[in-house]
Amino acid sequence: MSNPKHIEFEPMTRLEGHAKISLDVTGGKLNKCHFHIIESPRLFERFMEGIPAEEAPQLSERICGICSVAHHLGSVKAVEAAWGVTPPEQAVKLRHLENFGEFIHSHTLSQVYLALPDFLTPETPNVLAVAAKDPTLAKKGIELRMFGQNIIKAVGGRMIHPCTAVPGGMAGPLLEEERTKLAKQAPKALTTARAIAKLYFKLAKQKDIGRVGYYLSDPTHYLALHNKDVHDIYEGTLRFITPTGKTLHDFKPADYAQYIAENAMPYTTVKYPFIKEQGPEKGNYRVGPLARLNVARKIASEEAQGFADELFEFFGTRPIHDPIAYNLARSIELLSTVEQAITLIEDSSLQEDNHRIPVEPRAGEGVGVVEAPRGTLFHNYWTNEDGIITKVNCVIATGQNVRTIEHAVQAKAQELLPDLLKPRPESLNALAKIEPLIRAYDPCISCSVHMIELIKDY
Amino acid sequence: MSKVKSKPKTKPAKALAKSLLTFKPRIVSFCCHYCSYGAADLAGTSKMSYPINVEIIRVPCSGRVDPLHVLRAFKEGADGVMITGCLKDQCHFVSGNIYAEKRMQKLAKELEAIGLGGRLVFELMSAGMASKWVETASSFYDQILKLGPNPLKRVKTGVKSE
Amino acid sequence: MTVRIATMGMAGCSGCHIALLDTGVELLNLLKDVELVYSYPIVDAKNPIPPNIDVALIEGSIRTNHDKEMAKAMRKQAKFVIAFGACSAHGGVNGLANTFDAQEGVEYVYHKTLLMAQKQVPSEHVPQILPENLRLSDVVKVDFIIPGCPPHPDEIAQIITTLLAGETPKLSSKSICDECPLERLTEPPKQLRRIHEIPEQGICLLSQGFLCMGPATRAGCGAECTRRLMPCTGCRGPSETVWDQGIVMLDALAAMEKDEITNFKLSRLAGTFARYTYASSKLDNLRKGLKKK
Ligand code: SF4
Ligand code: SF4
Ligand code: SF4
Ligand code: FES
Repeated sequence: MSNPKHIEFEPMTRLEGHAKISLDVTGGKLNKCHFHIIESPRLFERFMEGIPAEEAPQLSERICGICSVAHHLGSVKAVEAAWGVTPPEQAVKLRHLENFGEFIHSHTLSQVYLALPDFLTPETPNVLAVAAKDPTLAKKGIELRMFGQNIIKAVGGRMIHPCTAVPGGMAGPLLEEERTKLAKQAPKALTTARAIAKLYFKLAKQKDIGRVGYYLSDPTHYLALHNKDVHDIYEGTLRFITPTGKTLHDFKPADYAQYIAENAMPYTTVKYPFIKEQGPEKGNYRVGPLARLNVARKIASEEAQGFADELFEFFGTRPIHDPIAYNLARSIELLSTVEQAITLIEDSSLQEDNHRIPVEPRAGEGVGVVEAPRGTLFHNYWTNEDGIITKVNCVIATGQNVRTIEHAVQAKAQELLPDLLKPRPESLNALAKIEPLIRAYDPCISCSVHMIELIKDY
Repeated sequence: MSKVKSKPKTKPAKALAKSLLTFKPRIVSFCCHYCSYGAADLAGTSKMSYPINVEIIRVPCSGRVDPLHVLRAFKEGADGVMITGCLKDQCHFVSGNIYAEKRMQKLAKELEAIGLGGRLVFELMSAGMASKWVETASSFYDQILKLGPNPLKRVKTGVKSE
Repeated sequence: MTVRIATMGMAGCSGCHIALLDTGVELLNLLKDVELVYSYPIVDAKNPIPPNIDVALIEGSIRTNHDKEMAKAMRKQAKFVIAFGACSAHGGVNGLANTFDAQEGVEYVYHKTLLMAQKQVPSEHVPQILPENLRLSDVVKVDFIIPGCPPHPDEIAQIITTLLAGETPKLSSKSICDECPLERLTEPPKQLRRIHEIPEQGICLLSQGFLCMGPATRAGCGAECTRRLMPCTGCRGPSETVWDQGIVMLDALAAMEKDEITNFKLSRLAGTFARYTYASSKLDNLRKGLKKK
């Protein structure tokens, strides 16, 4: 029993991307437990050098197939900032709509396809089992996600890796025929989003969610975008709040490098960002749906605001630290993005012909920040006089949550250690209590490791 | 790759030195039927001397040479590729030579990027310009001599000679 | 008899898996007679890979030794292996990393990027990067490819249906231009243009001087991008008659008698003309040969 043992569980499932958990055990005691992100490195930051900046939005989005819109928009905003371009208002609205589409698709994916099976069909937790148990729910979920994808396709030309954002605006308006199609799907989408929010609140109140073993995480800082205190996913100011809810910094996206630093860890291919002045341990922060609700005072859509009030009342604190609240916050955002998307679909100015202005490439540096479904995303480019990219830096949403996820995994693994050491299937059952914890953050691993890494001895 | 690595370093180096001493560049020359092949032919019949190991492939027009042919030649171990066509405005297919020149210029840049710079040459000449053909071939031959063997071939000989 | 399907991801962005979900309600129909035995985004199966798989869809390129081992392990269990998406079929955008040294790229990302406070390269229990980005068929036998970055959901649905019916699927042999609604001009363009310039409606983008990859790219997406007046970037890889997407376009550029795009020397064939196929291009093959010196 005293022999040191190295155990690995791979792959972590119902997540986007590749991760594993490893345990180092000596004499029945847990020495080390790591959450390894083992996504293959793709070195984007390096190979984007030398390409014309106007093509960056279509290249950098290949970092992630789930939040490609966020990368697409973050990238185009960075180029526009570098070239000193302000896109016309219609383009900004179109981009808002496109990002709403992405939130709808991605949040539904997380809420219905990935997380819900843990609560509804814990014995065989996958979406196919949910579909067998509750076919209408599954079908509605699929339709809601497709509503989001159809919005992206209508605005961006393609469902995944859209192609229409260019420095200076958008390649085309929202066509009338597309608008009518979307307007037809809208009422159903709203009903489904509302039902999903209600379902999650019901589950939370029944303490049902407690069954899968959530772990109350340590308080952390939070970072999110807000537009004059209102929840916004495309533009605004960045804000750090402290674990007690005070505003620590309110800053312009362009100044991010003054506030954030990153560390690499030997056992994972993701980089760990932290608040610079506070250091890696104390400066740990989280991003994502809960962070956005914790940071913003208001939500721009009424019904979602009602749910948000209920959420803070239910937990009785502001900010909320419990990871379970991530699921609830996500369902609130899902509802609010559907509501706001519908408002935009009805806006006739999206059909006008004022979506693009001419631009001149020039030398400069620019930062583009948007909220991706999983949190704040930074693209930062430097260009030369021809408008060719000379340097790139990206900070990816999920990376900012990984440290907290890891703490939670370690605590839970400690608690479940005896079971984890048993042979399969018992060990896998224990593992199934850890994975929902990771899923609450809906980490998108493909993204977080877009560029990395590492090597030496394996 | 691992195979090559595990072998003692001195041997390939020796083989390399040896191959440099005995190095006779192998040049593939694409000549268009109407002019430059004529020039090469004339050089032969008038007993002008030009480097050995220049292998002539006759094509209907220099515009017929696809970049694929060039890449293939390098892959098969050619040390240099030389393409010749008719003088400006004299191409029998009107502008084959102009296109050929442009595409070879572009291809040359790409070859440079992967480490085969200076191994592709393009020249225009008429059927009577035998001396120009010989000159081009000889100076290209010298250039290749300086550059050394096609690195792709070196692997092959290096490994085989073990 | 139910068909056993597996999906797997290598160095990619998960976009191809999402495209599979984008078949929408159709997916539920497709999966009726199917057992999904291994698929990290959808079901909970852990390693080792289960045996007797009928069809395996593999997304992403081969970038680490771990990818390589997993691909081989999957090949052992699967009767029919599909390279799913541009990364897997042609090397994908990741292939652009082959234009520089892998080790240098890694150091760049861990040492030189802006925010790095503590510079170290991860090494414990993480996969080891290979010197080259490879496509799937460089390491295992591939039975079929579904091109696209990501593939079009309709095409995925149609191919899976064909496979389930026991027939061999087929890809379009045409090029994007055959599907494109824009009108071609007989005049060559007066100058080359970059995509931040505003094109005219209804006219072929290549005729207007934008570097549209349509002529060299396999049809099947319905020309999604050019319908939005954005040039095709060639994500579906070379069409049947094109031997190398990048070089063929380079050739076409030569035929247009235009050397340079205003302000911008076309020094990076890889990024523009072989964005998704560099790792499988003839040029990169030559380069790989050279590197092995
Ligand atoms: S082919 Fe495109 S969509 Fe698919 S994994 Fe690669 S980058 Fe992502
Ligand atoms: S725009 Fe592109 S795809 Fe359409 S016809 Fe022209 S070259 Fe072909
Ligand atoms: S038009 Fe070209 S880039 Fe766009 S989806 Fe089709 S093949 Fe891909
Ligand atoms: S015929 Fe000689 S170059 Fe065209």
